[in-house]
Amino acid sequence: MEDLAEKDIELLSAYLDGELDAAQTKALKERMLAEPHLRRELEAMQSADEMLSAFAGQIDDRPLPEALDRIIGESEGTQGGHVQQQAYGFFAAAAAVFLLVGGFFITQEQPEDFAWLDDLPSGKRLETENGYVEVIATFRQVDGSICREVISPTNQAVLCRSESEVREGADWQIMLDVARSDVPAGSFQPAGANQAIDAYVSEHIDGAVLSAEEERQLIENNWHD
Amino acid sequence: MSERVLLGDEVLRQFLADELPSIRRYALSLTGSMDDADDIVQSTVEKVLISGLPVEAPKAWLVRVCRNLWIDEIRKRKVRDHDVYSEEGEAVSQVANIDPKPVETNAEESERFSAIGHALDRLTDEHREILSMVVVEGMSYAQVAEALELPVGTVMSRVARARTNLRRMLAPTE
Repeated sequence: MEDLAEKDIELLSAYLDGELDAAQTKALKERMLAEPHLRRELEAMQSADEMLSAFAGQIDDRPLPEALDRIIGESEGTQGGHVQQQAYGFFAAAAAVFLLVGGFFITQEQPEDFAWLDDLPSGKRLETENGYVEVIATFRQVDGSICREVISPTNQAVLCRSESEVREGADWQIMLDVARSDVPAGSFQPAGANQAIDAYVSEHIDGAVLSAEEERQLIENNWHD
Repeated sequence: MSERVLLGDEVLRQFLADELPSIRRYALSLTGSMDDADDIVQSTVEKVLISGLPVEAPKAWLVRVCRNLWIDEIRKRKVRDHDVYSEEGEAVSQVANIDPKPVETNAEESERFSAIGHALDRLTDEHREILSMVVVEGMSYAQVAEALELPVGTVMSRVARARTNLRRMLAPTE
């Protein structure tokens, strides 16, 4: 193997990793045309990478150990889950992203478990086995759906329902669910203190939060106007 | 106390399920052993289920937890004497000799994987972990820099040297 300058090795390595900018890439490609030993070194690096990846990929064919399968298998779908990848990287300053999750506030596992949202007025606390849940506010989104901001000792969330679907308790979808990890159980945290929830509401609300009377009428009319 | 936003419980589990194949491959590239890789991954998952993962860059955190558990493990293990590839001007750390145990495949593939495992075993810990992050996990230099708390320039040069060393060990006759 021809000895290459350290800088050239770094350039080739960074090129392989897609870490060069457009100008650097263009310059290196031109050099590789003129200097075949650079091309040969790049191919050798690529070959070593492929061998490393193949080595690591052996484990793909090995079944999950039972203990690991049990731990992970408690979520819906152990491979290729349906959660949108974009949900993991949100929380830019004012961005809000739809985050569909299978469970909510620990106590709920199935959509029909949200039936309590149909009848609970804002400001009233419902005691649960994990503490409580409380609706902070109800509002309309710009798309017409009705949403409720809910809080528990550990989570703060926004759930919305579509007006076109009327099955009781079946249509509340979690739009955002944020852990309130630093809030001691039983202590007060001002509603809206969570930036992500605030950002979501700000971005999606149509007008103002519903008044107590407006909310009462919706509850009585099973969430129809 | 500033509020730290973590992935919710169900989201975390789904994230871990989605990342499991990738983190297992990463763990195998670190440990060289299927059994050790899955042990490390299990410890990683158990730890993360307790401590949580931040909504920002959960993957980088997950890799960091796995890597730190690997570091702890090799420190506990008995180090065997063997030749360690050294590079002038760089400190060479003792490598815990974890025997590669490739999955049973055809003889040719088995021999190839053995050679790769042996070459990995001869890399320094620093080179092994950084190659695993970049090549196996596909992390960017910026992500690796954050995970290892290094300047990006150091990541770039370290990856290059690690790659060169591995490449030389895999093709020593060139």
